[in-house]
Order: sequence, then structure tokens, then C-alpha cells
Amino acid sequence: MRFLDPIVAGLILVLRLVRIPLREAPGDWIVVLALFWIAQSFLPPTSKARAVPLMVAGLWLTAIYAVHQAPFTWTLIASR
Amino acid sequence: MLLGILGLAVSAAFCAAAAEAFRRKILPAAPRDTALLLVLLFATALQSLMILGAGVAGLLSPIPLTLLSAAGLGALAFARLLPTLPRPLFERPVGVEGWILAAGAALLAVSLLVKTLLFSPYWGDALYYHLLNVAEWIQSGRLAAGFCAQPRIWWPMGFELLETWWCVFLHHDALIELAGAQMLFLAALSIRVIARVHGADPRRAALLFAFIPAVILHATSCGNDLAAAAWVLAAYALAADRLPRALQAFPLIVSAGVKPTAVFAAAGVALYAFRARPRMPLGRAPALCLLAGALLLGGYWYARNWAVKGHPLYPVYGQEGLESHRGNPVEGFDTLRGTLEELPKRMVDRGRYSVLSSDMTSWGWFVLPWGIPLTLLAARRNPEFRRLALSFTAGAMAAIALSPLNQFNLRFALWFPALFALGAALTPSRPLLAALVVTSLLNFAATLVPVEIAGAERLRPPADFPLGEPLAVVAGPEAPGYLYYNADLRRRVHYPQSMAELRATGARYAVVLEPTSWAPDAGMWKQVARGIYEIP
Repeated sequence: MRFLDPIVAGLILVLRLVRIPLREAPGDWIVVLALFWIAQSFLPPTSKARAVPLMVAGLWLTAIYAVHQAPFTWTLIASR
Repeated sequence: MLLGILGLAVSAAFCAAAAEAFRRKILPAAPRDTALLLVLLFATALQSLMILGAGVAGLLSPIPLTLLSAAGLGALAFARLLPTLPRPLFERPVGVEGWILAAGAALLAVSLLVKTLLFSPYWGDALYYHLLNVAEWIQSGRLAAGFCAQPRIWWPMGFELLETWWCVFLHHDALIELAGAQMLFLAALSIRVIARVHGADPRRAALLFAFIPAVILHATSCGNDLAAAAWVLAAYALAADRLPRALQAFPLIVSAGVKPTAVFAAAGVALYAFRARPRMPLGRAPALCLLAGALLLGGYWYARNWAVKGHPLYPVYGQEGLESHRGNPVEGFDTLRGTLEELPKRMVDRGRYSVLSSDMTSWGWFVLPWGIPLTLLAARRNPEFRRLALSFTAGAMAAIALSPLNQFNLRFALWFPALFALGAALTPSRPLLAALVVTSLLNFAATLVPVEIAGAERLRPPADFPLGEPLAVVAGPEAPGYLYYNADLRRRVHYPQSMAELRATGARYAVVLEPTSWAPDAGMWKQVARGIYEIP
């Protein structure tokens, strides 16, 4: 059971990497979430180090979201 | 106008007092947030029932409604059921985080009030068919039906009852957006209850949801997606608090009259509700009373369509139905599969936030980067939350699968991102509070002025065109007819489908939106104002 989490996340990661070009992987939110899940599953439940993958994933996903949405948010705010 | 304001105040006082009296009768010891949620639910249902009853009886005007409300208040006082003023609704904020969250709530509330006062309805679907009902009902004093060729005016119009309540006393649409704000308040209160039951921070959860761009935009759009979402979330909240089954069913039955997509979500609510027995029973009389009220509000539209159009599910089924609005849940799971395939692209929101959110989610800067990872963590460590997450997912999938596939269909599950607000609120931490504040401010700033407003303003009749002059709309069935009623809803608007019908209206002027087969040269008529032509 201990390895079920990383196996499921790993499967999602592999399936996703099959569907998208490898160069797009760093900008793909599903890939990032799968990696985050794998990292979480290898850390003890009470470890304070669990905050690190969360922060990394959060900032990484923010960057991915910003690449797509920031120009539009900026346009909406600047046009007021 | 003063009499209208007085009528509105009397009616609001009656609905609130009756709702609180009923709540005390059936659940005298409910927790504070649940009690407030129940009062808001009952008051909303009562507002809608008043309009429905008056509309069916042909008494939809300020004086009968004010007299009815005053009589209701008198009856409550006579029966010694008039509740005393409630305790303060909101607690004094505690600590820096408390004040930050309170400031966020105040900012949103003030912005909604200002938008209500400044904006006129602007969103496509609202202008094309939702609000046509409101305008025609108020003009005719009854629940008029079939006044134009647009089949979508036959959808269930439960939320439009509430919008009518906000307009009928003033005979003006100045406050119409407050119906959406009321639904946002209902949704936020529901999330607070769910969060409390699951051990999450109720204030964070409610605020995170309320600052989602799609939610902010729907609150003032005059569309019914947020209303449907609020009723679904209310059902989840009552199931979370393990209230009696009749109470849990109440919002779902009412939601059938708001938008069928809310009923599709019942699969998820049922999955969640049946995880535990209710904490207490409910007497037969109040249960019957609740179910009767809910069935009236939820079922009226289907009974009407059955009687008038021959099919309860008109206009999706029946003669001249809109086949494009049918979902194909069984045939290859087209809708669900198509939506899931598009989801990776939609999630990153490649476009300006808008009410329709074409090919995007408009879930904003928090949900994808922080909400989803935190929800995954919460579901992993908390079995109760995992059940909630599974039921949310099942409900959203059912709602999507049973709806037609289009680029806008995620708004049919506008309640679903509440899951990410709840998941995030299970992890209290200062860095996350900072992320919440920054992302909420970005969402808020980007939705201050909805993008659809400019388009609607271009179609509105010029200010110097006589306000009382009737107008005929020369167009196909699709026309933004609500733009022509005026804010005071007094201008007569006609929807002819032939030259003979046009002449019979007696109108001297027509809005020509597109050439029609029966008036192909309408664009050549004498133009008297922008988009308005003299009928030859």
C-alpha cells in the first residue's frame, strides 16, 4: 500500500508524457502535479519537509498559469 | 419610488421574520452558521413563492405584494412568532488573519453593491431570454409566457422569480443584481458550514470561493449559473451537518426550477448525504410543508410546459425542441469525454475572464496553483474530506455528462471549485494566507468591469430616444430584447414574426438587428436613431 500512491502518480505521469511532446512537459500542470504527488508520497506524514514540495509545486504552477493568463489579467487591469 | 422602497423593506422584513420563525420551530438549537443558512434558504424560497403566487394570480405589482407582506408580519406578531432581532450576524475578527479576511469580505460586498448600482444587465443569455421574462412579468402583472419566438424563454425560471422580487416594488431594475449577490452569500454561507464540519477554516474557504473570477462575474451577470451552484452547495451543507433528509432534499428540489444542471449534480449530493444518518428527525408537518414549497418552486415550470407545450422538458424535448441542448450521456459519453479531453487546456485560462468562459474555466489565480495541490493533500490524509471530494467529483461529472457539450459547459458546475477552496482551507499557514491575498486581489482586479459590458452598451438605444415609445424587434428568434425595455421596465417591446404581426403591434419604430425573410429590406427603412428605424 505504501507504494500505491507513487505508482498511481507515476502512471499518470507516464501517460501524460506519452500524450505531449517532451519539451512541453515543464509547462504542463498535470506533469507538475504528478511529480508533486510522487514527492509527497515519499516523505513521512509528519515531516516538516512536506512543505517544500508544496511550495515548489505552488510556485511552479503559478508560473505555468501566469504564462497563459498574466497577459490577459494585465490587459483587464490596465484597461480600467 | 418611496412607496416602492417601503414595500421592498416590508416584504424583506416579512420574508426574514417568517424564515427565522420557521427555522426556530424546526431546528431551535442549530449551530449559528447553519441557522443563518437555513434562514437565508427559507427567506429566498419565500421571496420566490410570493412572486410565483402573485404572478399566477395576476397580482404581480407592488401594492398586493406589500399588503400581503404586511399581513404576514401582522399574523406573525399576532401569533407571537415575530422573532426578536438576531444576535450579531458576524463575529468581531480576531488577529491579523481575521482582519485581513474580514477586509476581503467587506471589499467584495462593497464592490458588489457599487456594481449593482452602476451596471445595467449586460450579459448575452440574460438579455436574450432570462430577463425578458422579468420585464414581461412586471409589465403584465402576471407570469406571462410565450411572448416571443425565442424557445429558451421556456426554460425553468426559478432564479428570475427572485430577480423579479428585487425589481417589482420599484418597477425598476436598479437592484436586480442583488439577486445574484444574494446567491453568492448563500453559496459562501453553505461553504462555511461544510468547512466547519470538515475541520477547515470556514472564513478562508468561503472567501476563496467568493473571489473566484467566474463566481464574481456570475454574481452580477443576471444569469442563473451561480444560483444553481448556490442551491447545490446548500444541499451539500445541510447533508454535511446531517440535518433531516427533508431539509437536505429541499434545496435540490427547488434547484430543479432554477436550472436542470443543478439536479444533475444531485448524484454527488446523494453519494455524500448517504454516508451518515441524520442527527435528528423532522416532524411530518414541517417536512410536508418544506416539500410542498419546494415542489411548487421546482415543478411549476415543468407542469406549465407540459400543459402549454405538450412536454414537461420543453424546449429540449417536444415539438420544435432545441436538439442542440440535449446531452448525450450514454452515446459514447461524448460530453464528459470531450470536456475531460479539453480540461488540461481550459485549466490554464488562455483568455480574458468572462461570464461564458469560452474554452476556459475562469477559476482564477488560486485554484490551479494552490487549490488543487492542497486539495490532493487534504484528500490523502483526511478520509472524511476524501468522501466529500469523491462526491463533488461524481456530481460534477454527472452535471457535465448530462449537459450538452460546448465550450462554456464548465459553468454548469460552478459549485465544483468550492472543493478546492475547502481543500485549501484545511491547511492553515501564513505563506498560504499570503498566496490567498495576492491571488484574490488579482482575481478581483481583473473582474472589476466585466468584458461583456462594452458590447451591450453598443446595442442599447440612444439616451435621447423617447423612453415611452414602443419598439418592435425585427430579428430572428435570437435578439437581446431586454435592452429595449428601459431600466424602469415601462417601454412595450414587441417581437413580431411577420409584417402582419409588425403592423398589428401598432409600434412606429423598430430595432433592426438582422435581415429577416419577412422584412428583408428593413435595414433600408428610415433610420431615426442608432439601430432604430421608422416602420414604413
